[in-house]
Amino acid sequence: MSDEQVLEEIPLPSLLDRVARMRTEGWRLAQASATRLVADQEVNYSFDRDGTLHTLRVRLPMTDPALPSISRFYWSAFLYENEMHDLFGITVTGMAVDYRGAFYTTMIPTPYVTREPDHGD
Amino acid sequence: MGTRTVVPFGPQHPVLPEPIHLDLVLEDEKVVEAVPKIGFIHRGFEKLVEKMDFNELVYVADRICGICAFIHSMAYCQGIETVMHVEVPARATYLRTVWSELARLSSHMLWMGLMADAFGFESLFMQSFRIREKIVDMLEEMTGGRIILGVCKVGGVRRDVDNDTLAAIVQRVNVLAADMRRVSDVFLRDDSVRHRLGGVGVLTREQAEDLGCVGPMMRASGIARDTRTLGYAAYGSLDFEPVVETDGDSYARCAVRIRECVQSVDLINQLAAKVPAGEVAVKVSGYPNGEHHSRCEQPRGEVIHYVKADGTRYLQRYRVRTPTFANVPALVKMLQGCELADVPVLVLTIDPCISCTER
Repeated sequence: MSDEQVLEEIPLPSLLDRVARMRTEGWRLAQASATRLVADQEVNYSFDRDGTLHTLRVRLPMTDPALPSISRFYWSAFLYENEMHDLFGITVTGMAVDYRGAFYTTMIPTPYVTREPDHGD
Repeated sequence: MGTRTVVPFGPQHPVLPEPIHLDLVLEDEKVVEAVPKIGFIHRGFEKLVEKMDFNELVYVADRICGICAFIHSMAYCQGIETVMHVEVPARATYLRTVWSELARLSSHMLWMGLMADAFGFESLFMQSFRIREKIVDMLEEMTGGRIILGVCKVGGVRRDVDNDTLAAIVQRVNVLAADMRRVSDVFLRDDSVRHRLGGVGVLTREQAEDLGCVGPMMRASGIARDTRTLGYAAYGSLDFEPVVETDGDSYARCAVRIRECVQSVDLINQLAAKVPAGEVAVKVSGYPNGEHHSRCEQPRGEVIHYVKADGTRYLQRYRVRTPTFANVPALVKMLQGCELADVPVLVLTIDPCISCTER
């Protein structure tokens, strides 16, 4: 098997249709995560099939970011989605299991939304 | 429907070396629902990308977990090396692979000991840990570290191992293999072990696929998937097939881990026979710019280290998807419908590493 990696940026409204297609085509959900950038946030859903990692990327605004849950297609996605909610403050609607912010207990709510001003040097 | 009772399981429990909590909803002795909660020791390691540069982060990756430490640092380094187009010397990739397989042996022996302890087989627990101690001794001789090895760096490894030392280690691993066989025979042939693990927590191939299982959890359900077959480090030059069982129960998971120990011994022999001469590291200059999902096979399954960099010293994002995190949904499903007495076995059957999960 080769470690081929594909990145595909898609508009948010097409996320569920695209994920449904990945499911139909036999892709496995390998991971999902958010990344805070300067002006917005991106969310990556990575799917694996025969060693190829296909990542679907959607972009979210910094204020009131929201996503539909993909747990109707991939039940195990609820863990990733709860993590995104607790660490990045992303509202995910329709999660198969919703911990309502109690998945991670952090001193600062949604700690990954802000960046440290001091880089330590 | 009988009266429902909620029994809290953990975060402190005799069978749990690390904290995870489950609310078990019972009808009589049967679990009808299990609600997991983690986050008791979440350390926010990924957030450290804002304070530590990409070279310093190798030390952080090494400390994500005390069982699969080395493979974490290797996966991180591979991610950065891919982004920076660094060609790692072949000898370094072989050494990384040797240490990965010793780490797998150490982890599987640890799991066997903990599982034996969970079902009350004390002598089996002690024998497993005795063997593991010898593996940890070998790691110490080669790297100076027993658990946190600290030998991986971007561009290669920090220490070389001369061929004589490597040959001596291989010889000792082969002697240890006979010892392991005696212990694994008990796991695979003893009636009490089979009675305790057989038919418990069955996941079909379809369920394992749907629930996103990885590692021995997945391979015990008949799915022949192993990240090592991607050929990272020196795995591309080795001859091996994923270890697969088909029963999908706790006993099959035990059998997969035991057979993977045998496989690791074989891989270490193959590596020692092929290890090339040469440098063990190259100088790396500049800063990473780009992104990559680095995938490795931990003892518990596929781990994914995602690195995203913008050409500065500090990464934009470092995200680690650990195998235990991927196996938690399967745990939740397996617990539904099981007997309360089987809960400790089922929790241990996924080989939970909460340190990894709470990175």
